[in-house]
Amino acid sequence: MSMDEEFSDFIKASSRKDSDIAVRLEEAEQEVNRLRELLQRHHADHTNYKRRMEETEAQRASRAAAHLVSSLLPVLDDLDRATGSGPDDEGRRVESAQDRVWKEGMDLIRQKLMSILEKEGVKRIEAVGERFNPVLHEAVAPHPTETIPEDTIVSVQQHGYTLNGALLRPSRVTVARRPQHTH
Amino acid sequence: MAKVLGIDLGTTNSCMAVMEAGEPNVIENAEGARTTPSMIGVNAKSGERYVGTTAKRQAVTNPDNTVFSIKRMIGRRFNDPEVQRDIKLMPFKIVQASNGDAHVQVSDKTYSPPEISAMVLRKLKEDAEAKLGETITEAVITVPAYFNDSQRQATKDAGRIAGLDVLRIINEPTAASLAYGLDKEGEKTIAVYDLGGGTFDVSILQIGEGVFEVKSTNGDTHLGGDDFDQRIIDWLVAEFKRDQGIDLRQDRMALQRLKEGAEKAKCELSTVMETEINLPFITADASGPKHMNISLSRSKLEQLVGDLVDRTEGPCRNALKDAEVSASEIDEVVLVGGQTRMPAVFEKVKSVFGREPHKGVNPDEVVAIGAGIQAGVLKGDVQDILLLDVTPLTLGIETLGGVATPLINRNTTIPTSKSQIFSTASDNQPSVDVHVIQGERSMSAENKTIGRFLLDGILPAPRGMPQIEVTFDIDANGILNVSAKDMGTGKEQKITITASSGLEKDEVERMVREAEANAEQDKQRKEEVEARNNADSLAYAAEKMLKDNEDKVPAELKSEVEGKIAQVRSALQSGDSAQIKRATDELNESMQKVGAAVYSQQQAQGPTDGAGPSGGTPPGGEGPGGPGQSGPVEGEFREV
Repeated sequence: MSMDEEFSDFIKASSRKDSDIAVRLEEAEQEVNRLRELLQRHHADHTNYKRRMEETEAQRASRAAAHLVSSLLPVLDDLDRATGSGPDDEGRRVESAQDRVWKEGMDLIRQKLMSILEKEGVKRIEAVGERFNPVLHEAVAPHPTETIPEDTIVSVQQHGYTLNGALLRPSRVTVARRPQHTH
Repeated sequence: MAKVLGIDLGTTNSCMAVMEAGEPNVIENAEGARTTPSMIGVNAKSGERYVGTTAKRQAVTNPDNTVFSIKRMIGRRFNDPEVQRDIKLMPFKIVQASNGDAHVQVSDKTYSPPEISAMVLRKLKEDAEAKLGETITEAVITVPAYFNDSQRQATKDAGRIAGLDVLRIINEPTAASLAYGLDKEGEKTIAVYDLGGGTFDVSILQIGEGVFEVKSTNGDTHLGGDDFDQRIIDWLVAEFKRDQGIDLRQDRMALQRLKEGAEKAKCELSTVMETEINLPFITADASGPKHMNISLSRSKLEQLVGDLVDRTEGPCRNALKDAEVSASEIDEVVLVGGQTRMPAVFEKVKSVFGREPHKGVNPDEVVAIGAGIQAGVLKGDVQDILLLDVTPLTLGIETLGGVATPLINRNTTIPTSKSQIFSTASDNQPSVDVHVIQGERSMSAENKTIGRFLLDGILPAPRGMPQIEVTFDIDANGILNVSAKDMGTGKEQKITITASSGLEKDEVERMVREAEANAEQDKQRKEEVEARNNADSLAYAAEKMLKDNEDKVPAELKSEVEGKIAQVRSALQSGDSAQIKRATDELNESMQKVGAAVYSQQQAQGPTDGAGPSGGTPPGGEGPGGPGQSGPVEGEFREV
């Protein structure tokens, strides 16, 4: 074997070694990149989760208030009905002098409860005459009419309320419709 | 990488979940609800479109253009008997498309069922994006096990129309089983009992090596919780008629209130034995207003709906027969649907399949949770490398009096690390002994010692003065490094404890059990030790105070305090905790007098560093020695 051959063998062998190393380096780089991406992803995941949990935590207090107020609304409804200040009490009123005194008392209780709730940010949704909007209103029946424009709220069956702008319960309403056509 | 949304696209309600930090979580919709009505509505004049709750609210006044239960129609031909039956039941118009499929007509436009479902899916997708703050493009959607290819394909199309790449369609009972982790436990036969609002399904599944096979399905497409509510309403109407002679069916508003009252009572009777349906001013006649106040017991409710519960038994038996298994061969029973919360339903399932059904996951959400898990699994590779473990037991060090002070609590996800500053217990203490312990008991002696080392070279100093920072660090392999560093000198000692010195699973369970059993006793002992430590520090502090303020304390007060200190010391010797407490309290009182004396001296000398205005009160409330002596206290300005 000549010096030249020996030399070229050496070159070949070392370049083979180099290429081995190059392959392994590339693999290692890939692995590093993969792990880095994974780490970033997990980090991002964690950050997002934390943010969402913090938001949830912040909402919790206002939700607790909303829950309590919502569960009191049926009592307010009952007082509305009892005092005839409910939305649709025509024909249910029985009036004697004594009845009137009792009703006045009940009405004062109702007003007191309402003013406490108002202080907490509860607001009654005004609906009659408004255009029906299912974000705030729930239709319980169509109101057949030729005169009132369609989609207008004709009567309120049960008042709806918001708490600091957020919906607690929609108003239950009847909505103007042209008399039923068949198809 | 974006998340994959798991969606339970239901007949009446839909629900969605994603994996977050390794756990499936239900995502609330924009209205803040965990489930969304599978309903859409279009205002024929304005063209406004409503999906979910808002669609439901406008349904009554817009019945022609409100579509619900579209799932009953998806992937079916117009002449399918199911569709023909629906035509008679549904208020919206069902038409035949040119390809023979059933389509619906809304506001003079025809839509295919996948387009309708896509409106619901798009709302879910958008609400989830708003909640998660990222774009969602992929989903896993569940369908009933009995869905055929064209129904599955149509569901997939719905996803695509909504802008979702549907990675997989999975069966609802499979999703419910996944939610309980039943895929991880080898060969099993599972029964899934799904009693929803309007439909009842039962499925028998076979699972082996992570693959689910549906052996049989059965059910009743028109049986559900709504039927239960109706029974209660009918009963209430009958009772009221008997008592008051008024038929509430004629009064739409009264019926609405009855429906709500009935549903509320039904839900309450799942946890209590009796409830009241209290509806004042439900109606009125010539004699005045009428109230409803009827109590309903659980047993009465069970009587009212008994035949409905019984009606689910037949389909269960048929499903078993079709799957060619006997009830005794069923290994697991899974419940889906809100109505399964009713104890009588639970008992029925138990008696039919002869075993206790799984509980724990909300039955309204269990399918979506399973879809979310499947979605997480499809993201795959993540799990393999970063399988995060937890520490099975609390790790801590022993502190004064043999108290176990925890640094890392059990079930903390690792890798993690925690530092805390400790100090010396006596004056001029040259070293601290860091005794590393593992376990749940309050006293270190009852826990397991897993390492111990000494940090010495602490400079002479009064007790409580040196700051020793102890750090626990557990890496992903469970290897614990504990180090202690003297913050004053920077001197540090550390120890590495490998996981192998930890405990076997049985041992862990035993230790946790023992800790629970001894919790009360341990707490008492810990309190005793704390009382001792407290007494000891107080005696020490009192001595120091007397020494520091020698010239300011009157002689008789000094001897009084010295006497009290001696009492505390002897009480500590005796070990009687009542005595220790008494002596500590007395010493505390005397020390307040010392404080008052010292401050009054300062007051006499004039404030040294800009005393604030009066108003501060020293600890212990009113000035010591009674009101007559309280004058000097006014100058209080220092937070002690």
